[in-house]
Amino acid sequence: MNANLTATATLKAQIAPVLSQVVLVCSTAAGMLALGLGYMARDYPISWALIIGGFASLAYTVHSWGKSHGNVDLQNAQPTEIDLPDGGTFRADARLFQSIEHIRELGGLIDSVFTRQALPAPDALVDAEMKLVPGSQAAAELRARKVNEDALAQKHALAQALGASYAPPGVSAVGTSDERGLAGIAAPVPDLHSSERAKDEE
Amino acid sequence: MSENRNSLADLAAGKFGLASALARNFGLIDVQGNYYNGKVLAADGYRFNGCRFDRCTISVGSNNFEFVNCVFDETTQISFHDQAAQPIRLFLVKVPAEVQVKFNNFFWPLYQPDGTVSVVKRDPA
Repeated sequence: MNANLTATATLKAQIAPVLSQVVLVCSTAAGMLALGLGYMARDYPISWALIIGGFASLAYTVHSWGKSHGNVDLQNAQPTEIDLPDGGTFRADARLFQSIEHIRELGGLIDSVFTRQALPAPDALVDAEMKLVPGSQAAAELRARKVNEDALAQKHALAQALGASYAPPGVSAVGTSDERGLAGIAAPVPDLHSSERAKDEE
Repeated sequence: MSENRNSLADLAAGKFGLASALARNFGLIDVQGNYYNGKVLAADGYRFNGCRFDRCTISVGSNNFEFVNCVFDETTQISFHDQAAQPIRLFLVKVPAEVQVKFNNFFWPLYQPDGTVSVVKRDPA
């Protein structure tokens, strides 16, 4: 099987958690310390200030914890790199994938956008009756080039939208027969009506 | 471009339906009125509208494509990737044998000696 059209891509990810929740730990410790000092100094008026400060610090901890990004531990994570069938590379930060649902949907999107292959140049244009338009080859190639540019633009737009990068293969496939990605077998178009026609001819 | 970026940033944040917005921004690309003669092309990701194919090989690896009012000549071949062939194999389970034989054996479900039927992915012969 030619793996190019297979809806799989190799994933290489390196994640290095550093600087984990330092602020939250510090504010928690400060709050506990202030409460402890306030309790020990409860015979003095300043104890109220310490207790209030301690509770405020703990409240800040709770508030910050709620606001903090769930993937803060992925700070400095290395980009996830996906090698694509057309030779391009898709790079995205691993923290983009926040849920199974996102992974599934983004996976489908990557599959449809990044595995789309450039079309070969058409030989001509056809009219509404499917007849060739004479002298239309140049216009057809121009139209195909626009289609391939749109496909490439979608790849870049999606990569940019996801805060990632996309490196296209070096050679444009416009005007070439890019056979990469062809898989399976070349089966004739099934003609399910041939037996009926044979009967009619009899 | 910037609209895509903004909308997808929202998508990544889970602010609204991911699938619908993705389809809106990154759907099939239209190919209109082209004539292909003796070409090899992968249909996935495209919507071919009013196109004609002579002596071509069209490959499909998913269900993410459309052909609208197109013409395929008798010599044009369709190359099905395993993943795209699976629904066809399952469909043929319920199709009479005399019709099944009209299909390439790549699409035949596998009939086991014990009377069961298998619809499994397999490499092309």
